[in-house]
Amino acid sequence: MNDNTFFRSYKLVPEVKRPFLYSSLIAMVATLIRMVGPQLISRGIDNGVLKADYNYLLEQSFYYFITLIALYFVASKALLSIGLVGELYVKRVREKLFRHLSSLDINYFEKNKTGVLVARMTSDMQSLNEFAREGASSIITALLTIFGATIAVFLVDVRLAFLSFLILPLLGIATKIFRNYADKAYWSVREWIGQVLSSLQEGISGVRIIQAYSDETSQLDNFKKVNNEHFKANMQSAKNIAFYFPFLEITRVTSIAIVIWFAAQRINQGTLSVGELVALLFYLNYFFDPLIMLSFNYDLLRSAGSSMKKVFSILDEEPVLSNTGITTPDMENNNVIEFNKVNFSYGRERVLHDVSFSINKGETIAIVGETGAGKSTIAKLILRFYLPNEGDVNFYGEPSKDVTQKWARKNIAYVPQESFLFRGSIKNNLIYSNPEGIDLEKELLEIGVLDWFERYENGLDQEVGERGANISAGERQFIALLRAVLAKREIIVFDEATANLDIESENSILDATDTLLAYQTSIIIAHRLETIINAEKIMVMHNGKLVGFDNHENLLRNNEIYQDLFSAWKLVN
Amino acid sequence: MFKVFKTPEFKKALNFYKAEIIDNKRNFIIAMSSAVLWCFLVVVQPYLIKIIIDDGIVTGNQRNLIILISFMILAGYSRAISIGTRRYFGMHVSYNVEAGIRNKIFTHMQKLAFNYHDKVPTGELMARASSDASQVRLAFAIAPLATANIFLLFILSITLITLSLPLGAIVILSIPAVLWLASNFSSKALDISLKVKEAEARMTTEVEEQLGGIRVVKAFGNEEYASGKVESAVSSIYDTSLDYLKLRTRFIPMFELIPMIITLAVLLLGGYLSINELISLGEFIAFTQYVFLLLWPLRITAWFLSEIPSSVAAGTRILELLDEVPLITDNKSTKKLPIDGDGTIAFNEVNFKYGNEKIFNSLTFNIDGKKTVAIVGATGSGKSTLAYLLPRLYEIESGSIEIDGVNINDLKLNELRSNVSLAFEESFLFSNSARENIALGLGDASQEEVERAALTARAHEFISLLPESYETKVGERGYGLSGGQRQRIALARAILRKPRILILDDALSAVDASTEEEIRNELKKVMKNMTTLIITNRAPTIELCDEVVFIENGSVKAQGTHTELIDNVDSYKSLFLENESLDTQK
Repeated sequence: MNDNTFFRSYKLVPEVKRPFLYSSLIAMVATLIRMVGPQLISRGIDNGVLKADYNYLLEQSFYYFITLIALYFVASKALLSIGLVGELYVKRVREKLFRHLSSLDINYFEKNKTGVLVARMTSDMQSLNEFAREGASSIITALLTIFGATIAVFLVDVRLAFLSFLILPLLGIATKIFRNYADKAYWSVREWIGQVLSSLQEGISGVRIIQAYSDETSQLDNFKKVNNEHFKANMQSAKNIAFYFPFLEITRVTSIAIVIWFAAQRINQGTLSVGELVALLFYLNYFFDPLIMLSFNYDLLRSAGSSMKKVFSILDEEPVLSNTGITTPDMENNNVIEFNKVNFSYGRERVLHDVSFSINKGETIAIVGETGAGKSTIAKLILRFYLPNEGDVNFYGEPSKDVTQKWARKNIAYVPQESFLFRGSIKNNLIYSNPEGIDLEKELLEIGVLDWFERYENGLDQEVGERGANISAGERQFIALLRAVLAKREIIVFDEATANLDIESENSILDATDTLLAYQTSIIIAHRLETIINAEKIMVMHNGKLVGFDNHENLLRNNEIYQDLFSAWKLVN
Repeated sequence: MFKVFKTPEFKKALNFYKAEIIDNKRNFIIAMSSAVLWCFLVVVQPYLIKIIIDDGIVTGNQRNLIILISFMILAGYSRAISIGTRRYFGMHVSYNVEAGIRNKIFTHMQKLAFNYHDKVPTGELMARASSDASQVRLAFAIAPLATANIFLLFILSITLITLSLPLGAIVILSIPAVLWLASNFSSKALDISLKVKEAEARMTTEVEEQLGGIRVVKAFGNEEYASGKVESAVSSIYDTSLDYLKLRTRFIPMFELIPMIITLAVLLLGGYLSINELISLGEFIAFTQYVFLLLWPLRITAWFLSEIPSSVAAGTRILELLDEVPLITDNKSTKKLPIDGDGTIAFNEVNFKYGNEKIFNSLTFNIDGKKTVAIVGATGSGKSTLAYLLPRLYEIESGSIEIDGVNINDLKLNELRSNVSLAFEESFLFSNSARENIALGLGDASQEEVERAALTARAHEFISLLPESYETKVGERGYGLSGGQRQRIALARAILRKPRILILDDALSAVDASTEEEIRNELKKVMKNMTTLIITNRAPTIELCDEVVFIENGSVKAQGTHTELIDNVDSYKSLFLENESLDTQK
């Protein structure tokens, strides 16, 4: 962790500051009590056993026993409060991370795989937890012990103290080298665990296709490859440790050897007593033991640091769309949606060229065109998932960049191509837009689709699996459509949303749209004549350009591209 | 007394660990031996210093001093090397175990049939392969050191017994005490750490689902709701972790306490014996030195024991997944499809249920080879299920399904599935290149074959326009491509393998009308050579087919041509009523 990450991590969760200091304090008290014990024992031996004074021994033993009891309570308390800090920290980071993730723009999720983001919320938090649980507080105790031992060594003999610390700069250099290698290794460990989880996630969510196409072997090969890269990254970090830890031990022995050698000469000269040497060696242990402890934690720290860097790389992503825009349009305006010379690209090539049109309140508009003509892009711009590169998209006269994200979300409903359902009951999926405010049965009865759900054993309480597994695609689509209809937004966008439905189900939805949504403005992307023909106006897209915007009859008369499309439909029919 | 160590979970986990250790025998032994060497060298260090002071410094013998210091440096450097070796090989074992578990989970999960995956969310499986696997890894990381310590404890105990029987006996008592404490702790901790693991899995599931559905979350402006769900899962990790923490902090200090109490007992009894001259003072001093040596290994052993419950809990969860028996597997039969078969299909009295929900009730029909047949039925009537049964993606309850006279249960899955190709209703694309997506399961397909399939599916044109043509990555689940484009890639995938039976499950629903028409014309050429089942409710597509199988209430209501069925079957007719009226409207 460079200082920057360190301080940012510290500041990220300010509420752990006090408990952290408190727990460090208790840990120190526990360390102190631990040191008292051996003193009592050696006094018991020296003055009790050696002098055959059993009562004295009993007395010291009793004191020792008391420290043991005290130690138990203080040590428990210390462990508990340190653990609490760690858990609280990880909890807060997780909350912040997810909250931030969910605020990011849609295009972030088009660039970053779900599995990788899941790794940030799970595996990275685990590495953080390992450090928080074991490391954080022992670092403080270790540092304090080292500090105390250093002073003690200097108090015993200044010259020998300098000698014994002579080798330390070397250790400093080694640590710096280790740090560079460790950071690199842990960064790639974190990187690869993301890849592992995303490969795993894809292997699980695509398992149906994999089995149907007997592609198990090559999927496994791919997974093994990524998994092996992660293993190699881990082993690189192990290699770093395997060089660094021995180096510490070598430093320690060398220091002690130097001290003993020079101390021996001084003892010979009579300028140092054997007792002083013994004390010196004793304190040197107090210096090196925590140092080794520290280096162990240093390793955990680097690993946690890499995880925090990954966390910050997400937290540093700016949610452009949720932050821009401060106005709420005046919804009395009749001009609901207006595109004014809109150009748009997802980055590579331009997908919309100079598109202009306007849609009035209550209109039902169909967008038609070949696959890839830019229909879905128009939908995404209307949803304010993106802002136009050039030109304006206006809602009730307000440019989309000035409109708040919240307004857009609470006034525009969307039925995407894939009908994504959440795990849980059908009921919960239907009332998704407003879990508290929808009287579901009443609404469904009014629309006239309540009996549609009788097909399920548990009716509306039927549980659906992940992404709606265990009901058919048509049923999923029906539910997804109803979910959007029940949201009762001013503007509703259907993105090829009725493709999988049978006519009966589709009709009941369209009827529902008619009864519930008389006042609504609907935009329907479709390629089914049955759906299109009901629209008041039809927008014809071709290669990213708007080439016609009129009703069916007029288009059929004047628009060549529409005529082509129509003859295809006619052929189809 | 040690019931927890005898529970089946524990035994299973231990057997699993044993197997893993055997797999990593060499590295484990290297790690363990260096741990033993290291422990030994740590133990002799104070003695070396004592000898240096007594024989080198106090006697003022320079030569002795040089030899002894060199010896100490030698021992120290060996210790350093043993630390590095133990670390490296120990970690090699633990990371290898972790990676191995992941591979096993991945492999096993691919074998489990649809019915398992319908029940178990993705995040649940991911949690087992990530956080549970890491938890097991932690136990393996300390295992060599712990084993070495137990070894050391054993040697020290023998030394102590030989030094003094009564004192030795007291010290030996500490071992069952530690074990008793460990088992007591384990029996309580196992449950709680299982709950922690479950909470972690729940959060993984929640995060995976909310991020997977982020478009829906955002479309409804429900970010707050999604965060709330994740946060409640995070809170339950926090709460269960605190329970575990509280338990742990009650027990861990006791592990530390036991060796200290033992020293106290030794001090009191030894002091008594020594004062009453039952043992010599020298013996007593030597004995206390050894007892001090014992403290540290005991502490490490206790630490190891305290890590075991969470590791076992994680291991149990992994084993639970690995022990799940794949329902659909190859049976012993060696039957093969007749080479000259033309793809005749027969369903005989097929019954099928999803859980309690009855889907098919003695479903019976025959389809002649090389025919193109439409499967028609209302939404939710089980059309797609029928498509899944043919490649044996679900197991039927009773009855039989035959292809060219061979029961599909008698075929090797590989053979069956390479002969039955299914284009799913929802086109799932992998985040690989367009080419790899089309050549799924057929790694050796040539570029030419891939392109030909893409041409038929009318996917070639737009793929060629992608920045890197067929090598362009199509992104997670194919985001970035339109629904129609995704379906065309999925269709090319199904055609490429030139199956005996092709099943198109509403596979053109998102394709625009003119393209659909083109595809249909192309498909006609391909379909001549195979039996094709088209699941659809669209009249124009149905009219293309030789025959219609109409499914209602879980069985075949009627089979015949479209016009026959329209004329004779009312419920069939009503499916198309709306179309008819549209036709007249035009």
